[in-house]
Amino acid sequence: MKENNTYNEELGGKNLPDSLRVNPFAIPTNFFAEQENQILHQIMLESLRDFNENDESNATEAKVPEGYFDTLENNIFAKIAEQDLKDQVSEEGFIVPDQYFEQFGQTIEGRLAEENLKSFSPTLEYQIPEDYFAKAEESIFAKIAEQNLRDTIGNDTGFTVPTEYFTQATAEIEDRILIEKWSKDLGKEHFAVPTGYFDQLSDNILAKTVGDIPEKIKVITLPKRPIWKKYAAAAVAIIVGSGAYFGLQNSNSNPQLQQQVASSEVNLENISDEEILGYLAQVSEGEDLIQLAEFATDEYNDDEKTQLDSNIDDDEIEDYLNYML
Amino acid sequence: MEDAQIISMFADESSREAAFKQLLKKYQQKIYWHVRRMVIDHDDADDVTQDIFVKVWRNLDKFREDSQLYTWLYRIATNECITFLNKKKQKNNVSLDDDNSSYLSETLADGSYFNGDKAQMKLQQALLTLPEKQRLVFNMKYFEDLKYDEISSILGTSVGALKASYHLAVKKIEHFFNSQD
Repeated sequence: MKENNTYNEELGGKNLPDSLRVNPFAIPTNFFAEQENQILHQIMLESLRDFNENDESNATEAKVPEGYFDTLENNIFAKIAEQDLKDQVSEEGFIVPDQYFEQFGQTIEGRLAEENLKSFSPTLEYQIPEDYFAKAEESIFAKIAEQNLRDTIGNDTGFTVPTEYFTQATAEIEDRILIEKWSKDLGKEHFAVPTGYFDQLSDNILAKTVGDIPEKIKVITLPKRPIWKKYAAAAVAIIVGSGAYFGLQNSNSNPQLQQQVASSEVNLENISDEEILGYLAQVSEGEDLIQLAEFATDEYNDDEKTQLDSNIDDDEIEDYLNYML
Repeated sequence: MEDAQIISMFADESSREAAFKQLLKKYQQKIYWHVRRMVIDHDDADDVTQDIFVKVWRNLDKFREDSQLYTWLYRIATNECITFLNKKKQKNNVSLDDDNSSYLSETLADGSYFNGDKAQMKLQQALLTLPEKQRLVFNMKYFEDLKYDEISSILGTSVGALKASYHLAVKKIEHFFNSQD
């Protein structure tokens, strides 16, 4: 085997080739850290001994806590057991959410920012109406009941409208808008009436209605002249006629008397009642005169119908008249 | 006084006059204005109103109370208005199928007792272009604020027909206004 010729390799400061720089020796784990501690303890002990040797007043033995050596053995065994347990159960078993520790920093920063904000504006808390939570439960139950109703019945009210209702309603609404405008712009009542008209109107109407009550009466048209006047006329006619006749007999030879008789036709219309009564008083008997006098006292108007008591029956009135006639 | 009380009092002869006075007090002006808006002239309205209440006096004892009293009164008043206007047509040799608009327009223009301005006169002129029954419907709805049910009872026309009539009347009036501008 060709020997590795190292003469041509570059020689470092220590005159060793790189291939020879490998340390062939091995040491225990953490050897140097433990050695360092031991060396430092050794130095401390020697310093302490030297101090005690130099100063006889301080020449005392190193002290340990009371009962230290008594518990030392237990402490060492507890330490050994702890180490064994750690060797068996390397993990605690607790887990955290994914990315927990990565986000932990942000969470802490957010909390700190919130705390800072609160220090500036402590009243940022939202406000709610008074008794909100007391009423909230009731509201929630009501909402649940409403939803149950909707699920059962649905949104249909059951009401219907007439055919073409909405078309007509639209037209009506448009009309009302126009009417409102006219009412506002033009007003409503433009006609006027004379002063005091309505008071006068009432009086006029009442005069034509209440003031003109046609009572239910029996109206029988009596002859123009009372019955007794008929008798009187007949009696006078007879008397005068008789006288005229006898006068005529006597006047045949007297033309003037004839003319007087011819013109002596009695016109009873022109003779007053009193005159007729006076005449009949001379020719009539007492009883007839009394009866005739009663009639003579009635005021009589040719234009009026004599009104009788409405309680008298028509038949009775006719009988009376027939009797009288 | 309630209508029922008026009717009851009228039925009793001893209180008939008092009942009629109460009825006059309650309805006189309403009936007058109902008539006036139809016949336009105050004197004509006066005559017709008096005739109406004379008829009421004569016939109230026969009122069967199958409708409201005011409905019955309005019905009489409406019929008297139409009768009067028909007589006017005959007098003016106007066909019964035509309206009285020219006569009434002249009455409106010439007559006294109108205190409206130009725009209000225009409204009255617009109303006179409507057929009589349509004008009646409009008057009762617009001026007297009667409900369709009430107008239906008075005129004997269905509510639907009344609504259509009123709508047409409003449209015609609007067209009249626009055409006059």
